[in-house]
Amino acid sequence: MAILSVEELEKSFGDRQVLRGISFRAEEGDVVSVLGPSGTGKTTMLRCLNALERPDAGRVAIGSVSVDFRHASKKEVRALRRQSTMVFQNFNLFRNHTVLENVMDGLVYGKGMTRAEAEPLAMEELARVHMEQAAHLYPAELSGGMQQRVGIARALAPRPEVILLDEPTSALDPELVGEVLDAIRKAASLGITMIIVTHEMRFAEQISTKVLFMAEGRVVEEGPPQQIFHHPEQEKTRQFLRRMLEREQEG
Amino acid sequence: MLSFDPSYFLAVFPQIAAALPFTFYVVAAAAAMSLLAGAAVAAVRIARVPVLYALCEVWLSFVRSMPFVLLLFLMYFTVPAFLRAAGLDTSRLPKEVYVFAAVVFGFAPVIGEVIRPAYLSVDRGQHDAARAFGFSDFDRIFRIIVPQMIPVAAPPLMNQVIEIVKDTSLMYLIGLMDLMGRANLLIHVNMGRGKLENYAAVALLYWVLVAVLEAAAQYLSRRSSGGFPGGAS
Repeated sequence: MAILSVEELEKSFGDRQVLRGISFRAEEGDVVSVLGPSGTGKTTMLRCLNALERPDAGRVAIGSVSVDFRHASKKEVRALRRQSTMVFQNFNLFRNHTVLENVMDGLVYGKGMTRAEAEPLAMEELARVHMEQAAHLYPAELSGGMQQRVGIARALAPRPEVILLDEPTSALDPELVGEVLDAIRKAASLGITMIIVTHEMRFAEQISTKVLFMAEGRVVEEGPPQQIFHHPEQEKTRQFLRRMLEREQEG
Repeated sequence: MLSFDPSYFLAVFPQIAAALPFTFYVVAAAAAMSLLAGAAVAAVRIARVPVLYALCEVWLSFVRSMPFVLLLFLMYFTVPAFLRAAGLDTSRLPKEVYVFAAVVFGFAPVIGEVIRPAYLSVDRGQHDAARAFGFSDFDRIFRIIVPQMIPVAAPPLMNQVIEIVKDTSLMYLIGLMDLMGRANLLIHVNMGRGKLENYAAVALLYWVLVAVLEAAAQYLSRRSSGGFPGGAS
């Protein structure tokens, strides 16, 4: 039984069609990397999985909740959202809450726990990403790397069926990328299913159980990382990987 | 000849100050109603509700050009006529209701224009995160967005409240006994003498009232925003 299944997602902004029928599945514990050139709808696809963008058509099923976006009620959408959490490119920690409160928020406001129940769980997640010392600081007092580690702890705390990661290292200074990738590895080692939109090719190759290559609003190729990185079948995939790997070597 | 009699000033001061609770009640109630109505106006404009959006624009443009005394008279002399035409008894309506109506009508669109940019100043990512973590709409707005609006909105909102404090001093014109009403009554009883002492007392009380409001607003805005860095305070 797939923990996540996506069928024929379509999304347009105005008359520009961004997603042209996306379908894929993830099994429990999968780490799915979504790769592809800029502007091919990777982030939009990810944001459709928790309805931050409302797809025009298609079905998303996570855990026990399945939503057909042609006629989805507000209640269904919220139920779907509670199956996943998200790590954002720009962190998006709640600026008016402390680090600890940020990690508690999903438990308190999303899952209806009391603060007393949520606090020890949140502290545990902060310790996992080595941020327990910063529990009472505000996001604006932290570096980008630290904010994103908190972002990962926040995403882990509710133990969702799936964690969605939207280019989690793209907004970071290069020297801060490593600590965030380590935190993501730790999260993956817990066996939580993750969907990661990323430009970190080597990291994607190491961490993924499955790679999705997207271009022009479609899934062009998908498969295990060995296959996609070393024996890609599609010309588009080959071109993209050559470009990206050259760039990583230069950097 | 104008003269200032300190002992007369000290005698009338407490009598005028006795109108402070009533004045404060009218201002506080009018400001609270205007804030609610202003939030509704802001919501209409942010959501770009058709028709209503355009109406709010016309409303704003109209009240910006109106002196408050005109709005007050409009409410006091015309609204009862409409209500009576609708078969309602207006004789038992307390007169401050007309002040409330004039203040809400005159300030709601202006306060809406304070709330709207404050709302838009909060990063969209904050909404995204609240939604992604399963917040209800109520929790998203009141736990995350509003606290981040307060440092932005508090100073201009306070300016509007101070405008309300000053504009409502015209309520003595429809016979209400606020600070100005009391002072005018005392002068009248005193055969027109002691104007300076009476008005000096009113001036002093307004000064104190606004200073206290400003201090309270500063304290509240610091507390309700949690004093988080990156916010004002």
